[in-house]
Amino acid sequence: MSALIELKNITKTYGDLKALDNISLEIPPGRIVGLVGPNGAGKTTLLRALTGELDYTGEAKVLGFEPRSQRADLMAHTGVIHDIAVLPSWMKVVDLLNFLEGIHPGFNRTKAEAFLKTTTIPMQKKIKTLSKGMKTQLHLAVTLAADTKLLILDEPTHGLDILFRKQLYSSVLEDYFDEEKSILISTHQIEEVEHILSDVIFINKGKVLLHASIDELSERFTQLTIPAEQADSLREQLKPISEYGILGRRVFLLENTESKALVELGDIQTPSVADIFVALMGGEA
Amino acid sequence: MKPLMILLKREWLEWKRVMIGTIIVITFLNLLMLLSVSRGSDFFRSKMDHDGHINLEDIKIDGENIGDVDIRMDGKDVEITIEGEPTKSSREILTRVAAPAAFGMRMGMMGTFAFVLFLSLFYFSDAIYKERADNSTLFYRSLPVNDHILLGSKIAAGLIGVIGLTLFLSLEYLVFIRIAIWILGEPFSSLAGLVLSHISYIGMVWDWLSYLIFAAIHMAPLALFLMLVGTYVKGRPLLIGIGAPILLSISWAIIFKSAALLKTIGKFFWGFNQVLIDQWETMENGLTGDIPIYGNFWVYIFNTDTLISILVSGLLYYGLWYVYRKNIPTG
Repeated sequence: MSALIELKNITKTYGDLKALDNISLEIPPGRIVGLVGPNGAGKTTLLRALTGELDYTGEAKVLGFEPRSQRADLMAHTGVIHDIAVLPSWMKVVDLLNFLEGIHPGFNRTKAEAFLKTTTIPMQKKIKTLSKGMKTQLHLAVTLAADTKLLILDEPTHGLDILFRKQLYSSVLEDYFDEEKSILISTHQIEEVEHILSDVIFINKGKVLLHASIDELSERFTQLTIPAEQADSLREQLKPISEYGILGRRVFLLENTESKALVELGDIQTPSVADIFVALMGGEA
Repeated sequence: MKPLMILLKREWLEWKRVMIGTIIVITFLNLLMLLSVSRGSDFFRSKMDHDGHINLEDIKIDGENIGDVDIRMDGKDVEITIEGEPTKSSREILTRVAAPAAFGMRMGMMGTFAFVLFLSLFYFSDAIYKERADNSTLFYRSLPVNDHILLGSKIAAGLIGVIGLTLFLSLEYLVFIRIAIWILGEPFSSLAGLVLSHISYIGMVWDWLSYLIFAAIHMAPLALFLMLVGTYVKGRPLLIGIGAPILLSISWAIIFKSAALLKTIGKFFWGFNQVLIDQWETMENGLTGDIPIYGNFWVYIFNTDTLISILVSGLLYYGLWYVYRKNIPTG
């Protein structure tokens, strides 16, 4: 099956700053991919390059389209939710539905209205009068109502409370995702999405540090908790990529270490994606 | 074509309050005109009642007295007598009499156009700036519509808006003129009738439309320049769009001791107005047929200035498209 997203040597510079530094990766279809990185890592720049918003050097194909020159074709099959409110503030909610019904060939108004009925968003209100949460809900409703193959979420829960965050991700999973569709989520709050991801991409300073499936992560990384007094001797032996202390014990994060060999040394756990991210970022920060 | 129509409808939804507000303001001004006319009519009626006639003496052309117009009323019948030099036909004299009326009609319609043109400066400078300010450029560019249609819809909306609104308000003004004449009553309605009966309204609207298209071509570089400024600046696009070229021209004049740049810019943008003035002067130098209020402007569209306008507009459009794709934030 051909890749959903293919990037080869994508670079984007702002003066001397390399926002994207020679990024190459392939993402197959039917995946939920988390693009994880600290603030300023290049996540939004990469997503905007993927959606044809930015010029870049290198080769990119998204759904078979070159994003910059074939943006309109690409957008017929791609939904995007940004980290900021981008819906036209002067429009009424009903105007937005009318507008999208006319301009987006894949837009399903009935689906959008059904979603909006589950919210408290009034149809006759102007978008600028809605709360931030409502604006995100509205954008989510109209984006999920379009028949697209790829959904790009750029920090979609930015500035939202915990209730909205939970609701947003459950809506995305229930109302959008299936095996033929793919989702690319950018976030720096990895713990929020790690339970729904099938793949992760760690990015920092414009470079991809890691691109792996969640299954690969659990095979590749191991968390070993040992008594503090054994830490010095085992540190030399195991060479953890990171460690921290908790309740008088030391926690080692190990890469490419056989789990069976560790059983007798302490408690073995599968590390969270957040732990792996912090460990890898520790060396990059 | 469908996306363009939907985007044009979007522009209408966004700007309809300004359009309707403009119509209300102009209608209010027209009503004020009617009010003043109705007051004035009382004065003329009393003069007619007192003297029995109105004599418009000393009609002068090129400093020469060519005749008098005497208006008398007997009951409801109006008698208009024109006396003048035998070489001057009564028709030409009538045309001279009609000149103020024609001038009033032109000026009213020109005033309307100037007002709409003034408003259009706000539209063109804000058309993209407003999108950038509320970040909706990102939304529009996440739709399956290419950039040229997005930008084209804004340019087309501006042109349709300016031409459509000017035509509508001009026609409204003409209706008010007819009402004003009706309010004035006899003998003015008969006198005005001598003028108005010679005007082809369809021809006049057609000429006016041709002029508006001519003016639109001439003003396109300014409109696109304002849009370009609105695509780039952090704030106050109109102030910067108008102020920057003026400051540049003044600086040029100070540094190089030459007002050439100022004159060139002024001449170029005054050109569309100069054409109108030239046409009026031509008409007033002699008429043989119907009374053309504006004259035919189609011939003016095919000239070097138009070519320059189109070339400059093309360059500015390329710049606009290039900067628009960068989606520079406002704040």
